[in-house]
Amino acid sequence: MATTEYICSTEKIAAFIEGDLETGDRLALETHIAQCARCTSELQAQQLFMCELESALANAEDVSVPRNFAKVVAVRAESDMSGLRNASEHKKALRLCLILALAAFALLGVTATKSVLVDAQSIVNKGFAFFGLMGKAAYDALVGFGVVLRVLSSGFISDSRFAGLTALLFVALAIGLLTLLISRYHRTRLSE
Amino acid sequence: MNSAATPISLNLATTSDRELVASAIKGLDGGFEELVKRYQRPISAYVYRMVGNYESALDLTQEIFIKIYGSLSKYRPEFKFSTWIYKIAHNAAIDHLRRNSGRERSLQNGTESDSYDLPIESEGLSPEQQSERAERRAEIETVVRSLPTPYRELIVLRHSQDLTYEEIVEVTGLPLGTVKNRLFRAREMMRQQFLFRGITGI
Repeated sequence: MATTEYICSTEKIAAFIEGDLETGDRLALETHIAQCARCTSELQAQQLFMCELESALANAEDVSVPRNFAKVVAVRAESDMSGLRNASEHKKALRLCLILALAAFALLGVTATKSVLVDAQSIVNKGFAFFGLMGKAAYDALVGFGVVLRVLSSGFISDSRFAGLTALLFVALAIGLLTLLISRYHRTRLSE
Repeated sequence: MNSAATPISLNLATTSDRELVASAIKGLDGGFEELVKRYQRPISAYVYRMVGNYESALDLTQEIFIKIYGSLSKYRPEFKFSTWIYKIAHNAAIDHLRRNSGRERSLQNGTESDSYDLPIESEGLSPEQQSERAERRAEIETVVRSLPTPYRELIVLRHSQDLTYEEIVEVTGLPLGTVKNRLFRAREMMRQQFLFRGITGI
């Protein structure tokens, strides 16, 4: 009974239809099916189902695609460069650029090289001239400021009477403040 | 000048996939276009059955071929070219379904009233035969669409694209036992669906 139950399996029958059973299992199942009405019916049902499924789905070729689909796709794919952007392609491109640059220099020749150098030299000279002018302007401004300060201070110091009077005034003020501070200090000590 | 180009274009139809890949890598004219011509229908049919919408399937098929062109240098000739491109198509379809998980939900809960806008070519059949065939096909397609993605992809690869178990293993990366088991379960689910819908004769 256990053997019969084991053989009466929809999975085994499916494997049998798919040709996926070992010879021994296949022969045992064939013998069983010949005697079992249930398995015969199951086999027929599965076979019919497989036929229907395959006739409905297997016609992959009849799915319609636009007439120029292959051409459009090929053109798009061939113009899409993203697939080429890998390390080896980058190296190739760099190598090619270097070769082209060297070739360009060689073709330009001495005259072209000279003209390039002259241009570069004139740009550097202009740069130096600009920074020189800026430096000179800054120096002149400083010198001018110094002159103004000297004139102002000499005018102030040359009036000796005014300077003496001011100094005297400062000394008197300082002595007065010092006296005031000392007396306040003593007064505070006495009150404590 | 033309005499040199003509034999190449004439030979394209009989050239093997591997030779076409080599010519496409070299940048020879027509090599990649011929590859697209060979696989555009099976790949678009596979993608259509995976995503459930004809327009999206065409867009995705185009993206897949562009991806294939960009990866041609990675193709190893010891593997079957068709299996290799199915693998790329499978990954792209799964990515698409993940990106559009809302759409995927509706695909799984789809009913017959959902748009089935797959244009098919049915030359040589009478109008009655065409109608009957379309009806039966729509029933089966609806049931296939109702399967969860892990089961649907295997049913499509096996019964629509006619891939062997070994090729399915290579395309999906699943163990052979899982492929066989899921296929069996998927077919059982479909049969149950047919019974549930009261469709007899299947």
